Amino acid sequence: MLQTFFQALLEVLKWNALSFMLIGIVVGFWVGLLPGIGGATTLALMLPFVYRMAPVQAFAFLLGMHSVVATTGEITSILFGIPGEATTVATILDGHAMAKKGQAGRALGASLTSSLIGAIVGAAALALAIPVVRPLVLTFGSPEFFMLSIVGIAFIASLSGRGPRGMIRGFLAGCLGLLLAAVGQDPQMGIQRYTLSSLYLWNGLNLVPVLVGFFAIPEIIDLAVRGTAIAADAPMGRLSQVREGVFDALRHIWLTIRCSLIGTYIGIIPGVGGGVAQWIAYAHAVQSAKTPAERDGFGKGDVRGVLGPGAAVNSKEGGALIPTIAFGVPGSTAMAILLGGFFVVGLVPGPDMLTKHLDVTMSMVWTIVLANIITVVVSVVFLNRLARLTNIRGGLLIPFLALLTFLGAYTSSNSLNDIVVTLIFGWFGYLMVRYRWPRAPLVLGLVLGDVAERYLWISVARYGSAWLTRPIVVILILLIVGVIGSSIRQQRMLPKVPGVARAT
Amino acid sequence: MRRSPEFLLALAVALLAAWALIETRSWSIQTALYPRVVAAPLLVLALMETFLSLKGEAPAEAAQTMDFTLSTSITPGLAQRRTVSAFAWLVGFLAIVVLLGFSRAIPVFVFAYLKGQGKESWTVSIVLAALAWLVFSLLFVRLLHLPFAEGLLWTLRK
Repeated sequence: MLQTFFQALLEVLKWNALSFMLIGIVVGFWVGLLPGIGGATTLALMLPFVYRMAPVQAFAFLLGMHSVVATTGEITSILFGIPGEATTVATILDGHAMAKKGQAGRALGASLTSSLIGAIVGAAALALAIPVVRPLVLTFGSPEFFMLSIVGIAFIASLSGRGPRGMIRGFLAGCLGLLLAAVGQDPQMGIQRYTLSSLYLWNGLNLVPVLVGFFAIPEIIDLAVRGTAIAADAPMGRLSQVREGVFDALRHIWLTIRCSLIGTYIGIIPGVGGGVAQWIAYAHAVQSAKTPAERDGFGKGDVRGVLGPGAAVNSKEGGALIPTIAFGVPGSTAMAILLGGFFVVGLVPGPDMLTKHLDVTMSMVWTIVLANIITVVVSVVFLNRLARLTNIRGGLLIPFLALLTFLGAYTSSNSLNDIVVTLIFGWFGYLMVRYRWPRAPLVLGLVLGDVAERYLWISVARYGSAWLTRPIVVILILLIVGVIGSSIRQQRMLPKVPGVARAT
Repeated sequence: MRRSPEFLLALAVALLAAWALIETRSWSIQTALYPRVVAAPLLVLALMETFLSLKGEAPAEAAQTMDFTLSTSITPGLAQRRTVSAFAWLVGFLAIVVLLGFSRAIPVFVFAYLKGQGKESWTVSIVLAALAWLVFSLLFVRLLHLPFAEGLLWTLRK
């Protein structure tokens, strides 16, 4: 196996495979930067190009492209507060806050380093876990997957606000997100729910325009209100800041690795994906704060809020490949498209990929690692130039941010209705920020709603109410109670805040 | 009774949750199960929040959310005017996209914003508007071949 592992490296480094990987990286780099054009869409667009390629070349191209999308998506999130990808929303909370404080270089350095560590952990998990992962996935049935969704929301809701009132708002936002996910045809009977007789809503709310509006528009409005650059009067970032960001990742190496492992595990679970991994990792990063005062720094520019999601989102790719390669069960849309790539090049996922075609599987591990190393090195070269964008005055930047927001929303399904949704959710996001309702639980609820509904119905149909007594479900319920309890206990220890900094 | 914006926001969510629950009455259990499971706690939480906002402002702790804070360095009146103006520009952008289509709306919006709102010079406004159009045309139209609808005015003329 070890020999095949290193042989695969040589295969990937051959000029033709390497060239295809570099082309893939260039495409993925730009796709990641542009909001709205998702990695999955690009994978689908590029799939026809692999017909004439050998398997190693095809996956060097496809995976090279796909594995850097999340990395560069974080650059847009940090610099402009517009999610480059749906999986890089959590990075906005602290990454963009750092950019506003003139620490864009540090945030980018931390984000890129944690992305690289995450990718390496995910790739290592892929190499090591294939023989042992099957029992791990099979221990979880629908009831456990449903409870896992609720645990995720409970985590983020209980951590996103302070005090009982903050917790009420957190859970309220989470439930609202779950309810918004119910818009559209129901998955069991195909009956329309909350569609307001609009054909556009039959397929439910499109996640990309909702997320782009929810996060980008409050930032654009705030930038217009301030009338300054994103980084306001903060001093221009320097290369030393980038280095500091790299050191931040190393200083919090255990947090980065733990978040990478969270991402890998979530990647393995079918149907959950990076949209969830980023928030669970973010919640874990918040939990890692040792004192209540430290915890209050999250959302206002704590570098750990950048490290956690960055690592998780990149490590989940390696995790998601495990069920795809080993069982032919894709864990996400992107993996389903990649599965198409297997058939295009004449491979069948399953046991053959672990025996006869082990070299191709191992070449995927190397592709993820090499693509991320190349992307990080290239990005570091341009980081200072990118960071300087935060010093351009708002008046010049706003029309371009609005343009990116509109194009990001529109290109997700080429409908003008998407822009209307973006504006509606943009306004709602603004109100939430203004009146201090946490947005993270709502987003997680919206992302998880589909999966939660599917697993809830299967659990009820299959086990009746007995699903609530399954051992892992009971453990997960106790975990939720524990999370809420520990959050209340921590909040009791907090010093009283003398006054609220009222929003404008 | 004090009707603060917080109260109205919570009340709106409570009404939404109540409507979501009422809608489920005519649905089969398969269709209604999930919305009921999430709308019922949402209604309870929203009513709690509504009731608490009636009693006055949220305690300072509740305002410490894990999220960004809007700028406080601007006077409230000016901030409100700028907020309305920024949102109006965005709605205006949507209107001209609908009327003219993306390819024409982009240079028009960028130029109008830079000249009208940003008070930039003619040269900067024209150059940046042209640049925005060029990047859009090369990247989204030529390279990615994304379909962009013609504006309503052009469709009606045909």
